[in-house]
Amino acid sequence: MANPSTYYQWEFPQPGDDPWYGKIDRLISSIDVSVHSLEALLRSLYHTTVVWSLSVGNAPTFNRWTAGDVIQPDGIYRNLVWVTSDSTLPAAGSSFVVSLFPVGQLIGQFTVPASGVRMRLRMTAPLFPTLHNITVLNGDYGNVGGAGIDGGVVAYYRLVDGTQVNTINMFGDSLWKHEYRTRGRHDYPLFTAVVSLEPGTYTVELQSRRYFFPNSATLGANQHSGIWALYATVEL
Amino acid sequence: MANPSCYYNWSFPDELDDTYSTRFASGIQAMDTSIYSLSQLFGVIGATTVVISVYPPTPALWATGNNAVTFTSSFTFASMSVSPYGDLTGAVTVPYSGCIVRFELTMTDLITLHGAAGTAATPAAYDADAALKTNTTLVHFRLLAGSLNISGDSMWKILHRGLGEAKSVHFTAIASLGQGIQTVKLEARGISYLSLITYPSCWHQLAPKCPLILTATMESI
Repeated sequence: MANPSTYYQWEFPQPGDDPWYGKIDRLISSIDVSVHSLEALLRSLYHTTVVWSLSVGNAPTFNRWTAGDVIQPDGIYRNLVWVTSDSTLPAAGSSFVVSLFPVGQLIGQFTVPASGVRMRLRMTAPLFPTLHNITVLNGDYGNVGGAGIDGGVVAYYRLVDGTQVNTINMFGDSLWKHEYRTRGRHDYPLFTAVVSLEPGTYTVELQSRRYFFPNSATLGANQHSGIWALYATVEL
Repeated sequence: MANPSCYYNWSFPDELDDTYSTRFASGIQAMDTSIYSLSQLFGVIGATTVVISVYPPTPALWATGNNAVTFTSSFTFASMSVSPYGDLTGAVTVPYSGCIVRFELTMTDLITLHGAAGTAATPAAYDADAALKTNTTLVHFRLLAGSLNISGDSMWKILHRGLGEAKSVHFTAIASLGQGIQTVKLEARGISYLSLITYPSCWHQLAPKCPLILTATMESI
């Protein structure tokens, strides 16, 4: 048997050692520290942090909003709208931080407790409509929305280390992708990614870009609503 | 140098103790107990229980009774009673007090239908009826553990257009529960933006061979 031990370098007295007590005491303390480190790791596993959670509206009136809810980077007041040139898919890196009234930008934190653990990130966005042409928000898109009938939207989401914007992209620019027709339908996407990060606290922000097709020239605001939550779970 | 030890209070003989054997045995026993308690945790954390599982071979129907053109929060929840399974209830064992449990509800191809009293409209009716095409139904789900409302009354919700379209949804909630067996129950309430006279009944359907699953995963404190 190795003395000190192979993995934890626990050292104990040799036969005939005198005095033996000091070595025993150090041995016990070393075992104590070793076991405690395992317990700390164990207690962090499968622990879920709610990075952000918000509910927007209560939906009985279909999440109707009027202009003025949100200030976007372009200065236009809309509700969770990210504005780019219609019919042009923005290049990677040109995403906007998602911002939602009255919460503001979707930025939160989670902690990676130890080297070698993986974080499972899940974003739920139930009750997630895309609405077009803000003048018909209270109507039916199939019958009233006109321009909204045949259009479609592709929305991409990504999670970025907010302390080093655009330097740590958690899972790429096109993996969290959502596509829908524009008849006021609702969808319930669940996005998941697993990342291995160095220990520490990470500040992350949700970014997005979107693409209209094909009736983009006549479309108006692009809106999303509902309950958004991002969960970070520590895994082995 | 600590004696007893820093984190687990293991106590060992001091130098020159005459009765070192007894104290040494006591110290080893304390180590044994400490490490065993950790092994117990390993057996619990991350474990997932399937609390409710419905996998209907044929369309399984359930109804929400609230049907009006204006939603109010006073609408009451009712048990999700899915034919032929009955109320959707289940149980999960919480191994120690304060254990955090992550509940996840997945429903695949959930369809909302409307119809006359006691009868769901057929898919063909949706193509033929303008009101069914263009109106909307809002459904709230909630999860109870005993009397504890885990999900809240409006956090788990879906919105259907009136075409009988299928939705696949995934809801999550996290709760800290007491030790023991916890009985959980799914409830729902609905509101249909349709005429009370023409369509007094609001029905929901789990499509054949499409599951409804509620799981509970133990998380560390």
